[in-house]
Amino acid sequence: MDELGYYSASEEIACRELKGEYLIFSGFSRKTLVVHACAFRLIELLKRQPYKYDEILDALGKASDALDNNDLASFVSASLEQFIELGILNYSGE
Amino acid sequence: MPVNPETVFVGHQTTLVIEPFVVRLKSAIPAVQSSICHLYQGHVFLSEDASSFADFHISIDQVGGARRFFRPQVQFKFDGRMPFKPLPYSQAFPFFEWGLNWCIANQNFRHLLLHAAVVEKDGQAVILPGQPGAGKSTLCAALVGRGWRLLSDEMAMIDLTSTELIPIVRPVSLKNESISIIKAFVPDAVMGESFHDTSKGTVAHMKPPVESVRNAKLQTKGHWVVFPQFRLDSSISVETISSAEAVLDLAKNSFNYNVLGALGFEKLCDLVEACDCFRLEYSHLDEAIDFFASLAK
Amino acid sequence: MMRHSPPLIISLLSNPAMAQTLSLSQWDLLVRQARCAGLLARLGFLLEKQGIKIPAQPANHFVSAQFYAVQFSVSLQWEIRLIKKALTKVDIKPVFLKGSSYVIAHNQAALGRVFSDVDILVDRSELALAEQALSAAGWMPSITLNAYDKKYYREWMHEIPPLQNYQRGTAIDVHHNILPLTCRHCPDSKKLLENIVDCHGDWLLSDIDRVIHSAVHLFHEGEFTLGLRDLSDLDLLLKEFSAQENFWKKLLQRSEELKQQIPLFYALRYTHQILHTPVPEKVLKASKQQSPNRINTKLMDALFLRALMPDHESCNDRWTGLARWLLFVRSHWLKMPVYLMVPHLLRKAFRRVMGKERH
Repeated sequence: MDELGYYSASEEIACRELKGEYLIFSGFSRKTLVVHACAFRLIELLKRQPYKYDEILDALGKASDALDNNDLASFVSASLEQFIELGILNYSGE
Repeated sequence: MPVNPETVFVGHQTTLVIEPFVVRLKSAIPAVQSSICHLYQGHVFLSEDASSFADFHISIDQVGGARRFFRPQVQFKFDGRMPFKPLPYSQAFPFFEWGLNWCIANQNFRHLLLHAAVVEKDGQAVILPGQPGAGKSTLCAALVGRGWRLLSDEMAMIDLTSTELIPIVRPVSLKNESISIIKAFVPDAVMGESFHDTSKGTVAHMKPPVESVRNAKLQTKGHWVVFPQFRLDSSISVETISSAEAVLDLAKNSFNYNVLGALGFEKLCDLVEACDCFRLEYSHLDEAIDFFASLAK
Repeated sequence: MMRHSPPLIISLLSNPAMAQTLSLSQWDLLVRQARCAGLLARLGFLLEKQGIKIPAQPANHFVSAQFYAVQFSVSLQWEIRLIKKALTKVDIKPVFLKGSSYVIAHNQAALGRVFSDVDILVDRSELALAEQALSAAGWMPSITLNAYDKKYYREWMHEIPPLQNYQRGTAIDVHHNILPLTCRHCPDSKKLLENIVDCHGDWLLSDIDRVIHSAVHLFHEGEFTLGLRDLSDLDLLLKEFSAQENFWKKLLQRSEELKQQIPLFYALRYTHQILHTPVPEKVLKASKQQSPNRINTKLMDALFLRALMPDHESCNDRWTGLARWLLFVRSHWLKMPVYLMVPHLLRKAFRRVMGKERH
């Protein structure tokens, strides 16, 4: 996974927790998704400010119900790719 | 008090208040005029000088030329434009109803519009989303026949500020077997004529109760979302569903969620958060009605 | 012969402050004319800028249209991103034309504008590769074409057939020139591509070329359903760009270079006459003088001053239908020589009668 660029949240998203489930809306791709809690935290993190890949792993690894390291890395990589594809996140690297 | 075509259609034109809209309708077709007068009897018809602004200018006219003699047709026009192909002459009144649905759904981005029926009792509203075969309109007509207030049989209109449900009180559209079922279930329901061989089969309309029309400006909060599914010979079953699932399913059943973007998403979440959501499978109407009665207690 | 007072929408576009004195029934007519002309959102924004308080009933319609336009703009930004992504894979950097360019450049002409296709310009040599790359990303020919139609588009017109994304339904028109190759006064697309500018990382035609393109497009057009909207675009472009130094002089010069003096003449004449765009008198004179052919202004006024009105019963007179038809034929005459045009029109008429014509 690319380590140099910054990941950030798109301006055109909305996030909502509803009775223990997590929903994301993408204004660009017009998709509404139900996501895992960890993915929701990822997006909320990037809404606050842009982060590099390693910084993301660090921040999410600290949560009490965090996945273990290997699982977390694959999960984050897959999520980042998916969310960029859906216009939920942006990436500033090459 | 009966409403006469001669009185309300001046120069084949009338202005009808279907809250929150004002509709200017022009039609020389006798069946359209009489159906309007019959089924919208409880609504307000404005006189020409009082009716300065109309939200929709609709005309239903017979197609001219050779078509007048061979399989005559009618055309729906929205301010001179023809969004649809012509239909058989006999379907002129349903064409008005379908066309008006289109006008509202297509032009309106001030409210979130769901394809759903909405009825209310004691200040609590039920939203009945309408997937095909769900039986939403039959259920809606039956509930209305049992004293629930009709807000709409086709479109849940949600205020984007308050998240309240806004009534659009119009005749309830029934098709095929539902027509006889409702005639039996609600013996004093006032029904319009049946229209055969439409793309949906046979279609007829139930006149909205006077009380529902009188309360057409009364908005109300949603309390339940119930996804109905009619299944022949099944016993009644009720399943609670999660808010997230309800949001996804309602979004699929929306006319304009796709356009409303993040605001539509937030409002839909607000609405669902305040509601209990269920899937209801039923085959007997009275069992279904009992279920709703138990909700309202 | 022509109507004595302009339609309400025209008056309001040139003078939004007039809205303060409208009665409810005038608002009724205005909303209908604006919707018909595709200008409901734009007018809403213009009225908002003037601080006009619209009465509740008509306000609902403006607010709806404006909301739609804002959301459309979000969707468009995404579409542009995806188009660039697909073409970057084959090292093609497209030039965005018309509506998309107004949005990218944050021009006034982007205000309230909604449209159905994204138009891009690529070099003719890159056309096949562009088509392949877009096809790989899900854009397919949007209409079923027979051999004649395919030839019409590829050989004679200036675009490959419209492409539609199979998932999103969004459409792209890929051009290699701004006018058909068979056109009587065909501009040199190389000249256009030499003058492109970088705008926030995207390529656009220069401001002056975009005005000329807008004029060329409108005054070669056969169907004027959105004629007033396109004229309004020109009005906003001219108002915005005329603040640039030597704008009018450069505009006239460039129209000569690109051999598009006549469309520019019409653009300046009709924006000025209809929408009261502040075009200097000497510029109007110069644009007429530099036209290569003599223009029968009386005849063209009779046609364009009708066809550029909204196609609404309140704006039409008994000659409007004829004016529109004559301009329809004219647009084909401009785009193709007679030996191609007559069979083409006959073919179109035949297919329409047989219910096969969708274009």
